[in-house]
Amino acid sequence: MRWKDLPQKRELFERLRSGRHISMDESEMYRALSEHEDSFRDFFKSLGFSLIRHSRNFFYFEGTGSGTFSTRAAVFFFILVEWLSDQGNSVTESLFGQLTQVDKLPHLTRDRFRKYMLEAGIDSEDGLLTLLKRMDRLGFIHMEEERAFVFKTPAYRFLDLCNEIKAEETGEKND
Amino acid sequence: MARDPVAFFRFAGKHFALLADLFYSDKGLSDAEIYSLVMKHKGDDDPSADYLFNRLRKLLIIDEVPGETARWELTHPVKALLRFLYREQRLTSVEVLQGYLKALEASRAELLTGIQIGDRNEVLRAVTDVSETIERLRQDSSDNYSAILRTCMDVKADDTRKKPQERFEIVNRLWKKYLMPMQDLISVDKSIDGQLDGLESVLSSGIIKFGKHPEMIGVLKGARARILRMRRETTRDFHNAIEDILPLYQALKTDSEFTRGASTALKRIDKAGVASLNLPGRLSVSNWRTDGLLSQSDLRALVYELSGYQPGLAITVTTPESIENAVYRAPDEVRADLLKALPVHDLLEWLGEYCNDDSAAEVLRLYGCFFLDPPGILDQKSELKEYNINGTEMQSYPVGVGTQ
Repeated sequence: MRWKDLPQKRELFERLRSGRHISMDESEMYRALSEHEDSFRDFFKSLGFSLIRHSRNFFYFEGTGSGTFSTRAAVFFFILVEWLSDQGNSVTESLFGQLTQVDKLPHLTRDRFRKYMLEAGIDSEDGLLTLLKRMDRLGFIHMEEERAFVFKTPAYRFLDLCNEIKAEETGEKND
Repeated sequence: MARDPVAFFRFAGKHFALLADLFYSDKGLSDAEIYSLVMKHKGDDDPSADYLFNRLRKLLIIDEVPGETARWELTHPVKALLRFLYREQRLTSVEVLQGYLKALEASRAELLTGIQIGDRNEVLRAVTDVSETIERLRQDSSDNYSAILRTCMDVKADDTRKKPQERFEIVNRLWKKYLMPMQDLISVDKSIDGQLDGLESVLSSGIIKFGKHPEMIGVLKGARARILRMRRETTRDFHNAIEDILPLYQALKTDSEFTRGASTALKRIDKAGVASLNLPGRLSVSNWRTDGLLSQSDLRALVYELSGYQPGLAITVTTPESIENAVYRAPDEVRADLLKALPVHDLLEWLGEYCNDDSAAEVLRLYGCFFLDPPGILDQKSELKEYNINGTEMQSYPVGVGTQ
């Protein structure tokens, strides 16, 4: 397809460059990207952006590896996974299938978790809420009136990160 | 002490609740505990507790725990019977299965010698051993499936709130220790398969050797049929077990790995600080800003007005006409058509006609699939028949497939 005819080009570019992850929830945009994936990839590449399609079927722009968001969101996620596991819950079922209440989160209430959050630069409820709103804007979670949230498919990037770190640990042990 | 089966079953029938309580007692029971259970279940018309306690011993329902005095447990055969009745089968380890296979190999050698020297008694003894071992294998395979299913259900309904790693370890142990050995039993590229083929072949040679003795033919054919049934049922058990355990195994494995990764990450933060994980580098998110070389409006203009670009011609790769793709039919599709065609009087003939232009190897591959996992009831004829499958001559005993 000719670049000028690519559907939803403006909206997609605006969203992707701001870090938004496009998953099937945004059906029209997802369909546009999915149907013309190669053309979009070439088009964005010509502008200096790399379009990534994750194996779980969502799209995003490769970032520059700077900023504080990734660190904060990842630490938030690690704590959440450990907390869910400690409670005997199925992690993936809880993350993607159930609403998590913001006021029940342990991140700032348990000493050990609070220490990790401080390391990541979050020391207050407001800071935590700001992080959640940003995760919502970027397509990682869906928030319901700032009281509860559920993870969306792009959160698999965090789970990939968990796997990567686990694999490194296994590799170090084998070495 | 002589066994009295009638007395045993009469007692077991009347006092089954007592037996069930004894069965579900994990460890040995003291005299007092046994008496307490007897009293709990004793009816007004029943004899005294002393009498019932002695009957439990005399009928060999309970026996002393080895190395301990005045502690009692159910005897092994009674436990096995109750396990069977309550579908509380225990898992059979690979070592036990290997023991059966060694026994089969020994019986095969005896059988072969008996056939070669024409010793009918020797052959009958060996066939009895083979049949017994095959039945144990079949029963243990079925028990393994039942035990795997029960453990899966326990893990799914876990109300002890075990962590994902702990639940995964339970299922992973089942997978590695019990399910994979079952796969070895049915896999066509394992030595076990060859061993069973060898045994069937010896039985077939016996049928020829003792062709004038109908009773011997009946015994040998019976043993061959047992092997066939065991192979078929172990295949079915394995597929059923895989169907039950695989989704749970994968879900728990995934959860366990995620959790371990997250915990490792937190440990590293503890030890070396959050910077040691290089999280911005690993989880990069686009955050494009207009500060610097290009203004926001410049970029917009570039995106919205860029047009007219035509990419270069794509390079096309042509495939030579002389190369033909090999035909591999999906067994599930053929199975669906076979099911529609049932009853089929001769499976090999039907496949030969169905796969009209395919190679004999492809026909035999499908034949093997349906022989080991038939879509209906198999009926093997005793008359040898000749076939010509796309130019390949072969002989076989026709096998019909009837509806279930």
